[in-house]
Formats: sequence, C-alpha cells, structure tokens
Amino acid sequence: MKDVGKLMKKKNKIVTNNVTVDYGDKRALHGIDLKIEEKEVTALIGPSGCGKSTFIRCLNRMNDLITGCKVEGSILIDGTDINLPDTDIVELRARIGMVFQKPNPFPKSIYDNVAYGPRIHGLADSKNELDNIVHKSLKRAGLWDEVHERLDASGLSLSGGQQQRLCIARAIAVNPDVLLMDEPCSALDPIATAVIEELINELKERYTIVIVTHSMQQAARLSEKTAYFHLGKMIEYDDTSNIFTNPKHEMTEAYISGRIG
Amino acid sequence: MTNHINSAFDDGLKDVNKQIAKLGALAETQLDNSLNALKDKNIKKFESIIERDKKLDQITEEISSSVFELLALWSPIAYDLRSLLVADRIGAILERVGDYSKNIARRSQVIVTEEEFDRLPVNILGLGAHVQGLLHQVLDAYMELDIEKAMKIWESDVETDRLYLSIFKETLQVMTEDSDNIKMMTHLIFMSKNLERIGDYTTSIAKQTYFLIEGKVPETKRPKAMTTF
Amino acid sequence: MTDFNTSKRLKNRYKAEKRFKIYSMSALIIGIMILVTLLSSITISAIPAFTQTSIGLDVQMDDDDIQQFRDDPNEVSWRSIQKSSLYELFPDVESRSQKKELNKILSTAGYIKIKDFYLKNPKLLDKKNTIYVTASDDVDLVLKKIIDVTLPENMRTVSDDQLEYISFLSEDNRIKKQISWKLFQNSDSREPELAGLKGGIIGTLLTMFVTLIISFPIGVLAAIYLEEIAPKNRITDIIEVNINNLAAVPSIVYGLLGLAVFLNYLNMPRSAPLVGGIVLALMTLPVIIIATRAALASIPPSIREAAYGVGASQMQVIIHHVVPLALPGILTGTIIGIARAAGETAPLLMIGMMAFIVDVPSKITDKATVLPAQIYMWANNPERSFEYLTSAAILILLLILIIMNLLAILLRRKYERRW
Repeated sequence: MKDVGKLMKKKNKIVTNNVTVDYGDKRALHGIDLKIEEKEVTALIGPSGCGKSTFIRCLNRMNDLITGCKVEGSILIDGTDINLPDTDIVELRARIGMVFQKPNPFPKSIYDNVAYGPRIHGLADSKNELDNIVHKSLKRAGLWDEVHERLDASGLSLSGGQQQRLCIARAIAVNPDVLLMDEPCSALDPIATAVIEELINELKERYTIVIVTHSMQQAARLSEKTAYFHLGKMIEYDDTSNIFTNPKHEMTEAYISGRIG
Repeated sequence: MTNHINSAFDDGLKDVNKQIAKLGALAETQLDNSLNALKDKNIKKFESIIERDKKLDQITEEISSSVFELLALWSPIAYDLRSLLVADRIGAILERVGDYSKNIARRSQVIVTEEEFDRLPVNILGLGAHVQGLLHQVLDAYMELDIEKAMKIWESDVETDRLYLSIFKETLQVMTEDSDNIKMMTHLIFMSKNLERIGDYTTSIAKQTYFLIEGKVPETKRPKAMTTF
Repeated sequence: MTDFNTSKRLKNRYKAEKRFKIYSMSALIIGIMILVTLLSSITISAIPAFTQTSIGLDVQMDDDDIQQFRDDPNEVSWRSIQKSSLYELFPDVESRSQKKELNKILSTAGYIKIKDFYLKNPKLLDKKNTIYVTASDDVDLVLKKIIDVTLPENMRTVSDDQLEYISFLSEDNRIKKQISWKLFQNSDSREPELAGLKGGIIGTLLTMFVTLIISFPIGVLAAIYLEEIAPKNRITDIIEVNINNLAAVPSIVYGLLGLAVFLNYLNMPRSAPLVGGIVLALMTLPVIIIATRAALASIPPSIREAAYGVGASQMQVIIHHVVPLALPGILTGTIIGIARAAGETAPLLMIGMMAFIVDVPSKITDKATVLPAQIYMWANNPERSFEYLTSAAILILLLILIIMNLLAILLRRKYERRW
C-alpha cells in the first residue's frame, strides 16, 4: 500500500554531477551522476572495490583526510556545491553524519559520546539543554531504555549492536539532515542487524539516508532506491523493487543473482 | 544467462527444468493418445491413459516441492525468482491439461460403444488437432524462451474458440433434431469443452512465458471470439 | 588415515619440548642469579654507610662554658671540651704527638654531637654526661678487621698507639655503632664518616626538573606536529631519520655542545643544574619525540575518523581524542627518557658538575653535582672507607631509577584505556 507521502513529489537532497575520484594516478570513480531524494533510504551496492564507499565519503568530504586523493565534480547538497574549496568542512560534517562499518564509539562515557558533537558545535547553552539533546538522541537511536541508568559507563562496555546504535545516536545528536552509513551492520549478528534495520526504517522519516551494503537482501529490505556500482562506474540506478524484480542491465542482474559477470 | 557462481543453484534449476520438460512431454502424449484412441475406438488404450494420469500428478508434486525448497534456500530474485514461480505455475497448468486428457478418455470409454458413434457429425477431432498444435508450440516457446512464438499462441486462441463454438452449435442442433443421441452428444459437448479449456491453458502458459522473459505481464487484452451463447 | 605418531617419534618430541623448556628456564635463572649476585654484593658492601660509630666521652662543662652556652651556644669552644674529655680517659697520654694521635680517633666534626646534646637537653648542662661523639672512619675499619694489623706500622693508616687506644675504648664499652641517616642528611665531605648524598640527591632532582620542563613540552609538541599535522613528504622523512639518529648520538657530544655554547658563548653559570638540565634535555628530546610519535601512531584511525565524522576540527581531534589516548605511551617514554638522563655522567663532566661541592644547592643556578658524578668521584677516592659509600650511593641511584620506572608503570596503568 503506497503511502500518500510517496505520491507527492519529493525533492532531491543530494545531486552529484560528474564526480570523479583519483588516488594518485589510479581512478576510483568515473563521473558519477546521482540524485538522492530526501527522507528516504538510498542503497549503494556492488562488489568490493567498486567505489561505493569512496563515493559515500565524497558526500561529507571524508576523502580529504586521505593524502593524494583528488575529488572532482560538483556535489550539490540542498543546491550548494560542497566540493568547493571554501566550504566549511566542520559545519558540513555536522550536517552530514556518518556511521562506520566497525562501531567506533569514543573511549568515553555513553553520555560524553553523544554530548561531544553538540559540545564542540555549541548546540547547547546549559547542562539541561545538553541533557535533553543526549536523551533525545539516545531515544531516537533506540538505546535510551537500555542505557539510561548507566550513562557514565564507558561506551566500550556495550555490545556490538549497542555500540553501533550509540554511534548512530552520536551522529544524530548534532542534528544532521543526512546520514551516511558505510556497511553499518556487517560487524553485527543477525538480531542486532534487524534492530538497526528497524531503526533505519524509523529514522528515514526524519533524515535522508544513504547506505552502502554488501547484503543484497538488506538493500532490498531497507531502501527505496538502489544504485549498482561496478569498477568505479554507476551501472544502474532505479527503484529498489525494479532492481530486484526486473533489472535493466545484464551486469546488475548478474551481480544480484550471483552470476558470473 | 551466465551460470551462477555457486553452481549448486544451477544444478537445482536444471533439475526443475528437466522435470518440466518431462511433464510437458507427458501431457502432450496423454492428449495425443486420448484423441487417437477416440478415433480408433481403442478401448484398451483408454484404461492406460487414465492410469497414466497418476504419473503426471506425481511429477507436478515433485516440481512444486523442488521450487518451494529452492525458494527457501536460495532467496532468488529477478530472473531466477520469475523462472521458479513460472515453473511452479506451468507445472500446475500441465497437470490440469493432463486431467482434461484423462477426462476425454473417460468419456470416450462411454460413447464409443454407442451404435451411432460412427455417424458422428461433429468434428471434435479437428478441434483436438488444433489444440494439440497449440500445446506443442507453446511448450516449445517456453523451453526456447521464444517470446514471439509465445505471443502468437496468446493471439491464436481465437481459432480455438471458433472451432469450439461451431461444435457446440452443431451438437445442439443434432440434439434438438434427434433426441435418441442426447447422452452421446452431451458427452461430446463436455469433451469439446475440455479441449477448449486446454486451449485456454496454452494461452496461460504463453502469458507466463512472456512474464518470465519481460518481467511483466502482456498488456494487450487477449483477443476472444465469444462472450457466451 | 596416516599414522603420524609412532611411539618413538612421540617420545622424541616430548623430550625435545622438555629440553626446550629447561633451556629457556635456565637462561632466565642465570640472568636472575647474575642480577641477584650483583645487587646483593652492592647491598652488603653498602651497609656500613648506614651505620655510624661513636665513642662515648664523659663530658663535664665548667661554669664558664655553661655561662657561655647560655649566652650563645655557638661561641662555646666545643673542640677543646671534646679534647679535654678525651684526654681525661687517657691520663697516661702526655706527649704532644701522642695527643695528636689520640685526637685523630675522633672525627674532625665530632664535637658537634656535644653541642647537639646540650641543645636538646639544656637541663643536663651542669651534670656529668656520657656523650657519644662521632668516631673517625679508621675506628670502624679496625673493628671490622679490614685494616691488616699484622703489617708493619709505617704501612698502615693506623699507628700502634691508636690501636691500643681503640682496644681500650672498646673494652671499656665506649664504642657504639648505630644506624644513622647521615647519608641523606649531610653533603659531601673529605671525611668519609661525615660524607653524605644530600647535595647529590638535590642536585639530581633539580637537574631532572630542568630537563623535564624543557624536553617534555618541546618534545611532545614537535612529535604531534610531525605525526598529525605535517604532510608526509621528503622533508618530513629526512627530519624523521635525523631524529632517530640523534637518539643514538653518544651523550658526551651533548656535553661538548653545552661547554661550547652555553658556558663559553652564553656565559651561563658553570656546574649549575640549569646548564646540566639543558644539556640533558637536548639528549632526551629525541627519545621523547620518538616515544610520542609511536604512541600517537598506535592510535587506530577509526578514532580519528569518528571524531572528524562528527565535525571536529583537526585541533579538536588531536587534543580531545588522540593525545589523551596516547598519554600512557607518552608518559612512559618521557619517564624512561628522564630516568636515562638521571644516570648520565659524561655530558655533565664537560660542563663541570664533577666538582667537589659541599653546599647543598637551593636554586638551579647554584653550583651542584649529581648522583652519578658523586658516585664517580667517590669511586676514585683512594680511602678505603669510601668504598662502602660508593656502594651506598649506587644503591640510592638505583632506588631513584626504580621509583621512576614504577611511576611510569603506575601512570600507564591508570591511564590505559582500551579501544
């Protein structure tokens, strides 16, 4: 049953134009044009080394941290090109949060993990406000009930799935518009994975989510749109239901069905 | 389509295809045998056709259960998913085709002993031959994944309907003129209806073949020759 | 299935394993035994440094002295009181030369004990008291039979007369040996019974302080720049190679640098902990830089990525996340570097901290010496009594180094965090 929201035309949150990434003289991405709609989940799939992680890291300029990495092309977020040299990267990364493959909470307390971002960006004027932000973020990440009585315990004392939810809470604490998730469940067991997937289903009402995943089924379960990458090129980009029932490209079909390419 | 990297899946799919081919051949044989037996008034053959139907049921059951297992274990998507769903559906269709052939044989058993049988005005064998042709072609189309062949079947159902209608009309006329043969004529109506249903089923198989190849059902409405009479 | 373990192979394998275990354990035991032997021989020979021999004199102050004491205790001629009390014990000793010999039995500063006694017990001023006065180091050597009394007199440090006096006092139960902490209370002296380490210890501490406040901030900040901020190119590679080389430069070279630049060119005070500290800081700097860089490099990039991902700037990432996690490694490296510097002698030789300095330094520009230098000087002293002082000083230095290493371990334990 298609919900009414989808019938209204959604606007594009992120539009990339001819994005090319080189590591030294090796080209990792060849001219990617992609439009990502707001408040839905877009999945990027493809074999190892196809450039999907490289692409997602362009969106919050994390590739800047890698020496010798050059990113060209325009990346428009809400109409503004963030790939220009005068972009304030610190602010950009507060608007675009990231969750990584291996859960990496800070070696601080649960509270401080979530509070760190708001603190450095000056989002709270008083301890009360900060407490509120932490409470809200942990609740939205589905972790509040499990940890509210031990907020000063170390973030590392949690289980893998809880740590990942803590990282999600940490990312949403700075109130971003977009969440980038690079294989967020690959280090987790199936139950923890299911919990995070349910969380993503809830989060997409508020945030635009781009998720890189190795699991076809996960992309199928979670996303509205799916893009298939291969050797640095984007082969196909369509509604997820089309990709998984009747893809247009042979290469897409071969990859998702586990056929020899 | 290239092979799957994990060849165990290909092995499973191959087995299902083999079973469908076997089932298709059996269904064709049953139809052929029942029409020939009717023409030759071969009473012994009628029994063997009726007995043979059990084999079709068994193979259909095997196909269904293989498909079920492959779906559960491999979570196939896109083409692979369509091919398994279509195999299951066509298996069910062919089982019913077999049932109709059995039914024709059963009814034949009854009417060939009638005295008036040799003076049969109705060209039921013509309808039978036509439908046989359809069945053979559509199974070819499915096995060869030939979408044009499949679309031809999809459209040629008109002829089947026409042939059936003419038999129906004629039979009605004979029944009103000569009320002694009502029993035989009634059986003939049922038998030709069976053949017409088999014709319908061939268009179903054509539709499934189209779906398998194109990933969606054909858009044009199937042309029909009659509403009802 | 093939049979891998015929019983002969099995037996041989077990035997080989056992042999291996025995060899490695023996190596450990040999190492420990060497260490224990060294330590115990030093400790045993250091024991006399913690004892003091005193001789009991019967002291009676006359009224003039008592009056003088009440006016100003420092004006009392304690030396003559000591002398007269001693002569009273030996009424037969009359000639001047003999009296001189007799006096030599007591320490040159032994009279201070008399003053201290009366300062503590002014009520006993008018009474006759038996006061124990520090004996000369020869007394101890005689009693310990270290001095070979069979040698002819002119080959001994102790004359026959003195031997008589000593045995008389000993039979009269006037010789007392007690534990004393003079090693820590006194500064250096020509007399072994009075020599102490107070000056050396304070000098070492002051020098270490200067070394620390110079080398720690500079070293850590330089390492942070090189590891976290500087781009990785040829220039930084060259710098890294040079820092590694500097860590291996012989320490005396730094001493020469100190002599040429700090003393001769900049005219800084000679023999001062300030200069010594700067020289040792230069020597410790590469060690701290290398240890800090290693600690920073061992922090996994996932921590940095997590911080960047949340919108932290480079400075925030370094200060809030990387350095706190690297702190155990940094502190350990620093303390080990400082401990190494604490044991250095050669560079300080060049800048003059090997002098005989009696006063205890109070600020970093005072003349001072350090423990290793003190050990070296005492070791060179021909007097036998300085042997046990040298051993004691070695023990003290080892103790300070052990304390510093324990500190390193404790700090590491406290700040260690898993990631």
